[in-house]
Amino acid sequence: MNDTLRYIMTKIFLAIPILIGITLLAFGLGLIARGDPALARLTVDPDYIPTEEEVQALREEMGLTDPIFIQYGRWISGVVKGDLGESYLDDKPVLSEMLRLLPNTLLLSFMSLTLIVVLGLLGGILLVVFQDRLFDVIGRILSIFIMSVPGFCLAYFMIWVFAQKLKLLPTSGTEPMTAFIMPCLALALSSACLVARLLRSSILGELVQDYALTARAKGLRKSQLVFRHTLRNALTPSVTHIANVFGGFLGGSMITESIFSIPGIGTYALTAINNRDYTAIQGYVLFTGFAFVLVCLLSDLICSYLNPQIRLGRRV
Amino acid sequence: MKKFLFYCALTILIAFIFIGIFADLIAPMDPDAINMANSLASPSAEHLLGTDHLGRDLLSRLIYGSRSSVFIAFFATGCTLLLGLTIGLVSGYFGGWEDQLIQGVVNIFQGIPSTAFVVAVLGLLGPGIKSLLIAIVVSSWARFSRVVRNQVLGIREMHYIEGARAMGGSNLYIIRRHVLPNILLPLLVLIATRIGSTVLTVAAMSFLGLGLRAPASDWGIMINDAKLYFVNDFRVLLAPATCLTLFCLSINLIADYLRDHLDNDADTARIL
Amino acid sequence: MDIRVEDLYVRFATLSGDIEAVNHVDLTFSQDQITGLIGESGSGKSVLGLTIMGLLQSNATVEGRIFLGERELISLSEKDLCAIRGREIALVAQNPATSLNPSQKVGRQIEEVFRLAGEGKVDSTRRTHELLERMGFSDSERVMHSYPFELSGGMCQRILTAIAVAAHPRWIIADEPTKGLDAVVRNQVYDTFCMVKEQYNVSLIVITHDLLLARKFCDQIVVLYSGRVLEINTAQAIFNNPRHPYTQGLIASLPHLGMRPMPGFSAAFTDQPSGCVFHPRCPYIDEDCRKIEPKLIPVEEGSVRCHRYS
Repeated sequence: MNDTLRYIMTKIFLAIPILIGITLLAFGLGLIARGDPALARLTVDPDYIPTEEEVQALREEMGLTDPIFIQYGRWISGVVKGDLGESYLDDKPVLSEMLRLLPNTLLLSFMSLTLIVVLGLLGGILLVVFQDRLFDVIGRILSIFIMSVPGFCLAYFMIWVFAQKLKLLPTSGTEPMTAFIMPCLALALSSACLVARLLRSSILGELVQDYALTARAKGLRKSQLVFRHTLRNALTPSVTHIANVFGGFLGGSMITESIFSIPGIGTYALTAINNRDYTAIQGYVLFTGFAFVLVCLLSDLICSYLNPQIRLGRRV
Repeated sequence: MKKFLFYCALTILIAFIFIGIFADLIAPMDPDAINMANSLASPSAEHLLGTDHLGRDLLSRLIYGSRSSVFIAFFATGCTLLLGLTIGLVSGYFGGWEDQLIQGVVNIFQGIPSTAFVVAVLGLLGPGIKSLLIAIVVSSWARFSRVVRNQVLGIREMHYIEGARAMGGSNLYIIRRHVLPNILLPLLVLIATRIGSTVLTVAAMSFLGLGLRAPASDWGIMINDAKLYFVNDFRVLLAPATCLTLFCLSINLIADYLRDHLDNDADTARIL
Repeated sequence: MDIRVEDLYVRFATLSGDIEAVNHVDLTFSQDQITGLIGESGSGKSVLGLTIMGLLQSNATVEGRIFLGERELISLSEKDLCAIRGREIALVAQNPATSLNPSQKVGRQIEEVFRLAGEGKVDSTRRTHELLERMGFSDSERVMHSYPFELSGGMCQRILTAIAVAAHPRWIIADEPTKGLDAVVRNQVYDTFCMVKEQYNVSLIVITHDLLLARKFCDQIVVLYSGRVLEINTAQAIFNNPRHPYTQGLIASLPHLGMRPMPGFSAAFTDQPSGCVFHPRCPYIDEDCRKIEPKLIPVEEGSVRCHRYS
């Protein structure tokens, strides 16, 4: 137990410099590319041409003339206090705007996660159980095909079929809850197929290991062997992959959210980008980075739970 | 069966590359020629796939679209490969504090989901082909270098490297003659999947209006154009979507086959 | 209950062509005896062991018959085979370090056998304790709560043996039980098997290339080469009076008997020589050896597959 605790602490400790690095990266990205935000802000209204003095005054007011590390210090101290700055466009605080939109993204992400986990695990196990039979062959061909359909093509296809032709589901918005069905499918389906294939091949990889032979020699049937022994060992790559995908979802899926007009983190970022709103982009990079790193941390911990060798054996 | 699918996929991929290269010769019409009178026309002898909402020939646009997709995908993957390979080799082969430092940076770059990264870079640099390339390379080199490094770390411990060193081989010579050939094969799978995902990224970004800009012929832009019209005429959406799917499918099949094939030696050894 | 193998033929389909791993083997493993299967790597000895238990990979084609008493095993359904595995024939797999599930505690892996036999949780745990103590573990509590990678190779070997004997099978097939272990641990393994043989009253098939173990431990020895039986005899006769040139070569290559290596290598599976499989390496090669495959000829109490004895 002590070793387990130490492993968890090490993992958390190792995540800290990465998080700091992400703040640097987010800040740096903004710095490199922001152009002149003062000028950008004054020219929001295309009919108004600001004078050089006005621009200079605003620059000083926004602190753009200070040395870079002071700007970073100011920014990071704000970040620690939960202040990601205000959007240059409408002066609304970035963090509270994102938090306002977060529930939609969270809902969509968790629904998709559930779908991926359920479909992926179920599919993977079924493919193994029916290995080399018709179900397996068809399943594999179908899954590689679905995997190859880009999410936004799938989204439009579904809109065409379910909303336009069959008039079953609403095309956009967040109400009623059924509006989430299509976005969720568009996001999750290809990942679910990938997970199923990944799981299938890793279970098959485990089935030819020496320990599987011992287990079969005990008199276990194939299904028992899969569930009691190999599944747990085969899960690691799938868990890592799901964590990667889910971490990405948390950052908002711009394409899906914009196709289905769901106000979420993704649409927020998209608006910010189209307006070159660099505080908002910075905030977005920071937010997605943190969410991603934390999800990956969680997946590392799950993997170490699944495979005790990671936390007890070789010490990294 | 697998082999058959693999060759089909390879043929499709090569066909896409050829169509991309010789788009000028193959395309029956100018992809940008607007003819409002003939908008959203159904397939006919003149326009084999019909026309889009501006009356442009759909087939020609698809053909030019494969040029931009294939070109960007291969070029971006090549750049990523070069950068990732160099950094990964240095990091894995020499080790020490350089390795620690590089791995630190890699960890940070891997700490941001790649789509978010691409979008952010694009948003900050502004749309266009150049920023698209930069965004893709910047967001994906880390993954490459990590894989290369891990491969190199494994190979570095092999006895034949020690042997080469004992015979007085220089570092450069050892890397060229012994390390590179041994990591290239496993990298092939990664390269293949990378090309596929790059095409997707390009299309997605163009779709969002962050990559290539209209009126360029690109599958992503075509899908974006089609989103207002597909309700009446699904063909305008189906055509670019099919191309995109076909391309990804062929890449997936190739990667799948390569993965199986590379593992096979180990499998045969396991039976006996 | 004897295990009788009749005209057994096993072929693997691989990308580089078909591999005939076991080639028309007739054998009888007699009850209450310890039979050693010896041969170099790739002689088909492990495959033979796995075939008896029906544990080959799906790319294997098996022809012939295997009888356990009156029952024929090859034609049995997977479900019936599962009832035989572990309870009537058990396996001690090779490579003890990798043959236990790395993510499950050792105790659970042994208990599983009792649970499969239909015992309750409490009973299974109690019997696991007893079994571990009988296997020479003084701190069975600690061992039960260890993961396999926390134990040494010798300990894992004993755990594997414990799993095999747990359900009191009639037969145990031990696949390379001493492979990769040092001399001290090899002796421990030998002691463990002697104990198992006495206390559990099982018959054993020991697959090994450790000639000294075979000589010390086995009653009967079968020499395999390229999937064929070349010689069968009692352990004593094999070592004191080897008849087949291959057996003679094996014995002569033992360290304390001069360590003379045999010339040549065994033939590739995909490209087997005509006539006698051993003829390319045989010092007594004759015209017939190249063309005609010799039959298994009874000589005194054993039998040998060589033209020189016909």
